This record gives sequence, structure tokens and C-alpha cells, in this order.
Amino acid sequence: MEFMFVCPEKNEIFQTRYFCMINNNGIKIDENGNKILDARIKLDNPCPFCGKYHEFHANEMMCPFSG
Amino acid sequence: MKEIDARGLACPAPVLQTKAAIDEKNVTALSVIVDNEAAKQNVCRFLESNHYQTFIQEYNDSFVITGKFLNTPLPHEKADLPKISEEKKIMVMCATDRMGYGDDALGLKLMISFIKTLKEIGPDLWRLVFVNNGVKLTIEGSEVLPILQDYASDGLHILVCGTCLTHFGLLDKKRVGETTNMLDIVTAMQLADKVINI
Repeated sequence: MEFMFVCPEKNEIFQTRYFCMINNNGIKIDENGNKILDARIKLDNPCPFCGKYHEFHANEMMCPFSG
Repeated sequence: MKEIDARGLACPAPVLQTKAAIDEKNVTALSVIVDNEAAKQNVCRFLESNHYQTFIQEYNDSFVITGKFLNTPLPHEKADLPKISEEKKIMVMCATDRMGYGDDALGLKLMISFIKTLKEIGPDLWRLVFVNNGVKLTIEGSEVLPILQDYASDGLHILVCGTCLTHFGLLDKKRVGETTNMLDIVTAMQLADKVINI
């Protein structure tokens, strides 16, 4: 299952399944009282547009098929 | 067995937690607790796409999803790079279950023929999206359901608008495709080389 990412350098969208969770601090409560996953996501492979191994906060991730 | 409590988390966080768990070595079984239908569907799809057999138990307002690893090889090598497909990406968006205006019976016949004929596009057909009345083509009893299920089993991504299914009270009658949202539809439009609207 592939997730969509936006290259922060080129502002281009790409899809990959090859990423991992780093700095997983578990579930936190944000300022609005919502539960959030406090973790960072790092690409396992380089971005196809700029070649960097981007990192994203879990909150920045787009759900690939949420209803 | 690894246990994940993802109650209260919005997607894709439950899926990300599940992914982190199965990325650990020797995780052959795990359970994930979620508290909404979308998270339940998404976690199940994720596990199944990673060769886990899923079982769902419902307790009050929560779902306990149990995943057991099936010992089948992964279809992709870990060393694969993210790919920018060289094929054209054609997205077809159906916002109605009838083709054209004037005669509904004729419009339905035309739509059935259209769905059947879509396969002639070949591998460039990348996404088939159903919104508004079009979602009725994806539910049980739809004349094109077997065709759409064949497309899905052949690997075509079929997206079905969750808001539309909910509006028509058909969320539990959908039998093909992934329930999706407007962000995913807009993102797919942006990624597509061509969007065909029906």
C-alpha cells in the first residue's frame, strides 16, 4: 500500500510504500484536545524528484483511502 | 501478540502505527483497536495488502482487528526505488450512474456499456473514481458490479466517495473499491495525466 508524499523541495507529489516511523513518541493530546500520533516519518528511499530522504511529521501524512 | 490501541486517532495514524508494528521483526500476529469505521477499513486493507489475514470483532463502539501473517512472499523487493510511472495515468471520474440526459433507461445502458468498454484503455487506466450518484454503481445489485470487481482484482484502483455513500445511506452496501475522500480525489486529479469526467 502506497502513501502519497509531497517533495518539500520541488513541491511535487509522489507515491511510495518505502518509509518508516522514527522518533515515535506515541499518542499525545494537541491544544484542541485531539489525539495525535507524535512521530516522524522518514523515507527509506530517496525522493524521486530531489534525491533527498525527506522526513515528515505523522500529522502531515495524507490518508491514502480514508472515508 | 503485539497490541495497538489506536482509539481516538484519525487516519492515517492508525495505519502508521500498524505499519510501525509490522515493520518490527517476527511480528506474526497483532491486534489493533480502533473506534471508527474508516480506521477499521483502512487498517484491514493495509494488513491485507501486507499479507495478513484479518479478523474483526466489535465491542461497544470499538473494533478489534486481529491480523495473522500469511507466509507468502512479498510482491516487491525492499530495494525498489519510488517509481514515477512511465505509463500515462488516466483517471475516469463517474459522477452519475447514467450516461447523458434524456432517457434514464438508455443512459443506464450506455453507462453499463461504458464501464465494460473501459478496459480497452489498457494499463493507462489508473484510477476509476465514483462520486455523487455514481457511487450507486459500486453497491450490491449494481449491474456493473461484477465488471468493477474484475477490474479491481486486476489491480485497477477504484475510489468511491465516502461522503456520497454516507449521503445515500449506502456505506455498508458498497461491494467494490476503496472508500475515499475529497483530498484523495483532488490529489489523484493532480497526479493524473488526463482526467475524463462522465
